[in-house]
Amino acid sequence: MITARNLVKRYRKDESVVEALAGVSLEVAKGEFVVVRGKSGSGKTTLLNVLAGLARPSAGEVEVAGVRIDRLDGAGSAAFRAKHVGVVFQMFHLIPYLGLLENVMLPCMAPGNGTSRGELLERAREILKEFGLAERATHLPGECSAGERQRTALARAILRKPELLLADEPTGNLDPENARTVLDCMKRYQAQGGTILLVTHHQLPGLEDVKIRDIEMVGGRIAGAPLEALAQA
Amino acid sequence: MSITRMIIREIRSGKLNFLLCLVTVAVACAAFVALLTISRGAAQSTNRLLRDMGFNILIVPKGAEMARYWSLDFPDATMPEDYVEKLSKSDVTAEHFVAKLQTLTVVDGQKVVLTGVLPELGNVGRTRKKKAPMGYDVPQGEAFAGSGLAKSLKLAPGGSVTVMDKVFKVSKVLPETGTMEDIRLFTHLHDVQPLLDKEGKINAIDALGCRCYHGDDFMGQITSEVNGVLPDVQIQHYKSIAIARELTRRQFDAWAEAVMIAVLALGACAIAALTYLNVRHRRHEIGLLRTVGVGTPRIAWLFLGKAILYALLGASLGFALGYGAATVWGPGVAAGKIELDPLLLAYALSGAPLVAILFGAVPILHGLMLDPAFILREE
Repeated sequence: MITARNLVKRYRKDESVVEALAGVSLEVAKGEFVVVRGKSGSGKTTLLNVLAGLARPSAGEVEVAGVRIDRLDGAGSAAFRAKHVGVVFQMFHLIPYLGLLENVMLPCMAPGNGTSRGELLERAREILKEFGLAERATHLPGECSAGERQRTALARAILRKPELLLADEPTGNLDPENARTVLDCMKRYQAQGGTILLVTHHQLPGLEDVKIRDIEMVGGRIAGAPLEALAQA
Repeated sequence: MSITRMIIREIRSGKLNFLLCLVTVAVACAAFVALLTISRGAAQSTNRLLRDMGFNILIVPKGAEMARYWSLDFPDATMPEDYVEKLSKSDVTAEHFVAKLQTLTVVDGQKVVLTGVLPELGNVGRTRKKKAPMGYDVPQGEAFAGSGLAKSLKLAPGGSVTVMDKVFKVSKVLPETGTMEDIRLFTHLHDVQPLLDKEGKINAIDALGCRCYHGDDFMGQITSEVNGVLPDVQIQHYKSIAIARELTRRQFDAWAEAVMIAVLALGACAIAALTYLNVRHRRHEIGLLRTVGVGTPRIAWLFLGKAILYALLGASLGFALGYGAATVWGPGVAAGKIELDPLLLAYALSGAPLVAILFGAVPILHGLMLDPAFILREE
């Protein structure tokens, strides 16, 4: 699913250059649940952005779902995300003037992959129901709790059944109960064949019953061998 | 989720931004429509005034002694009659050409300015637009008598008058003007030429100078144009009040133009600033849409569509306000009737979205160029 070789990402700020990724190589198989852990500034979010095609690597190669995304231009990477990747952020990033159902339906604005709008609407309703948000479908994000908003963001990310789900601190702003609910939703997505790469800097309760691969990043590199599951750490 | 639906939802949630944009466009359009309508009204009223004041250009032979002209109201020298036809077929910015041959004579002890005139010729060279004649079309053998002359010689329509042994039928008595016109006897040019033994000759051409001269040097321009056609004539502009009126109108035009430019510039800057604020406020939305795979052209349309919408609504409102203002205050400012030009609505409806798109484009492009990965990490 993911093959990354010697990924380097440098940011230039004024006179100085920050190397956020300093030669990351990574293989993720289809159906895996990978947790990338690391301190703030370790490069984990940059890695996620590169894998999502939101940032281009300064050097190295990266192939996701059979697509060399380091070679794509802006329009190409947008089309790639629309077809293959769903992304969830710590800050939810829901559009404040749209209801939850409309937020979930946002990917319909991107070029389609053959699924009709009617089918996607039906699926959006099913996901909201599955995530316990059916009653909130017409509510605005501002009228919902943080957990409901994050579940909505997750529903949006998986609407088109992407092969890869990338999640950046998806439970960072949630209380333990809501965090567990969101992770349960992600586990269900994985159980249906999805691949997950999740980055976090803190403990993730609720992943004890699922096989995960844990990776730690330090200074823009993957540190040592995979660690134990975070839940057991 | 369609773009139209998103635009409408966003407007409903951010009414203030939309209203500010709409008011900006409406004010700019209102100023544009009002000033242009009043300016056109002023131009029409000046045209009417110029016309009502009669001829304002006198073309006489180059050698004519103007002191004699100003004392007797006609020059001594002559020029070929076909000069009037040449002028009418030229591109000079004047109209209503009337060829005249005049002489001072005495009838029953009364001084009479015998004036032979040709029916006026329009400016064939510039325009074929039919205009109401300003000069007199006196049939041959007939005469139009000035009011003073008619009074002292007891002339009345249907009567006759003998001048230099030729009898003319008086077909009209002209209204009193308080000028030399009152002692004129207008006849056909071809009746007067044989009496003065000046067949094919005239000694003056009256004309109405067009108000469309460029710059302030009316005399310089018209002299140059006429001399380009007829090198051996001189030109007098003897209605200086017309020039003053035209200059006043031009001052208003210049002022209106400056205000229009200022209002449009301010409106455009306001649109750019408001669009920038809107884009900045919605940068997470831009980042998110790019993340879910929406292409930048579609995202741009979210903002451009909104710009087009408020521009069209603002232009319609501005047109109504501007025309209303022109109707209320225009007659006083323009000293004339204010007429609605439906084309202005078309200009407003096409120009306002264009300005909104042009000046909104920079902040929109700026927003689209932001790094989505960077934006979405902001809290």
